Amino acid sequence: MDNKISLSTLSANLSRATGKSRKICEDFIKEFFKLTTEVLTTDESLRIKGFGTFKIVQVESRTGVNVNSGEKQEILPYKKVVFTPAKEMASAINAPFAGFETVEMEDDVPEDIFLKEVINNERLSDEKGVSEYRLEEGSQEEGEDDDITLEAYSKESEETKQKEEELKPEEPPVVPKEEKEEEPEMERYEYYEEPKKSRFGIGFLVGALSTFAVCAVIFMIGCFLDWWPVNFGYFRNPEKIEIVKTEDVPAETEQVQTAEPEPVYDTVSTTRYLTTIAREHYGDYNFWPYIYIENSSILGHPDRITPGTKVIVPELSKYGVDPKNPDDVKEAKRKGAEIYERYR
Amino acid sequence: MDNKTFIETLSSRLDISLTTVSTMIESLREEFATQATELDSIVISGFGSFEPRLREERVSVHPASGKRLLVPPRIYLAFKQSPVLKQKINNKPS
Repeated sequence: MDNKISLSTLSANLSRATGKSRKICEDFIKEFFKLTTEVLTTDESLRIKGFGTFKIVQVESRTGVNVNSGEKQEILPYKKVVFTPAKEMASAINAPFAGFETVEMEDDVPEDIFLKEVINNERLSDEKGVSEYRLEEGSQEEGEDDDITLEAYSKESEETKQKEEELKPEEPPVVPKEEKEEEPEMERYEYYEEPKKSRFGIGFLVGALSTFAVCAVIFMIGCFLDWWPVNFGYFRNPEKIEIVKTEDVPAETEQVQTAEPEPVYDTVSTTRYLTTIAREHYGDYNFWPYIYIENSSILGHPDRITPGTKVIVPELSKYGVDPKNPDDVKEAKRKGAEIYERYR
Repeated sequence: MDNKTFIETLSSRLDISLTTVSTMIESLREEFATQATELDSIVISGFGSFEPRLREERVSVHPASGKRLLVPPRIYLAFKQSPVLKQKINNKPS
């Protein structure tokens, strides 16, 4: 890598490849380039089959700057040799990339989709983080519904009740997907039962496990069929709540617009774009479309906003989006693409 | 000068057969290619240097259709003439 190969190394390699002596190879390379030089001095271009083409190109005079003194000076016209590799040469050089082809990319794929996915996964794996996040969102509903669910469970058999109460405190920190829900519980259960195993024998463990499995299945089916009054529908499809939220917003929008006492203003300049403003106010530049939508009456092409234009920076809650929510980021990106699509 | 004359001149000057010259040129090309794939530049004193340059893969937009294309990486072999060669072709005494 980045080494300089001299004539001697080149001729040594060539002699190994052809089986001729080093002397012949060196003479050959020397003569090869000597003859090339001779041909080029007569202003002729030289095409060597399977190797490449040497051509003379006239470079026009131009003004340059002397690096040392900083003065401008005229660079006189001169000729230069241009080398174009032959097809065989070019393909031999690019042999390592021969398998690649120019591929068309899909338009709606954001460039950093892989990065986003990695971040998502990290969040999911970090259970504590998720639970806190979830709690913040649904704390109200859960607080109200706690009693109801407990009542519902009291109807179950004693064993079930025991199990469910065991389950109960564990539920909030669990990721709202049923499959994920089961894994940690199983592990924990086994872990606690381990010491008992010696006293009550394997029979008890097997029995307990099977009861637990039956309960879990009943519980899951119940979730799925909406048997339990309220609370577990939330676990079944968490989107429900979010959708409701977004649906509420448009109705409120006008109210907010009129009721909002002091809208935040910001000014677009040659160095501050909508994206800059979005990053400062929302912490994520992807949310610029919301500023654009808010000011759509005075804005045209998002890239050709006159410097000095004053824009209203809306609260993101007005649109029901949150920079921390990856889905909202996706949505914002999609909106941005949509805006650009209009000015195609 | 065309390829045929070039090979003939080389053959008569070095006193080797025409076919040998062709195979030698072929092997020389292969040798150049091997060095270029490793991004090593080849320096011929008094003539110039052949410097391979790696262009990374990139996303380009087709100007007419607006489609985004992923262009694979590629190595270009750039030639840089030596000052001696420059003087020679500009007919200045070296």
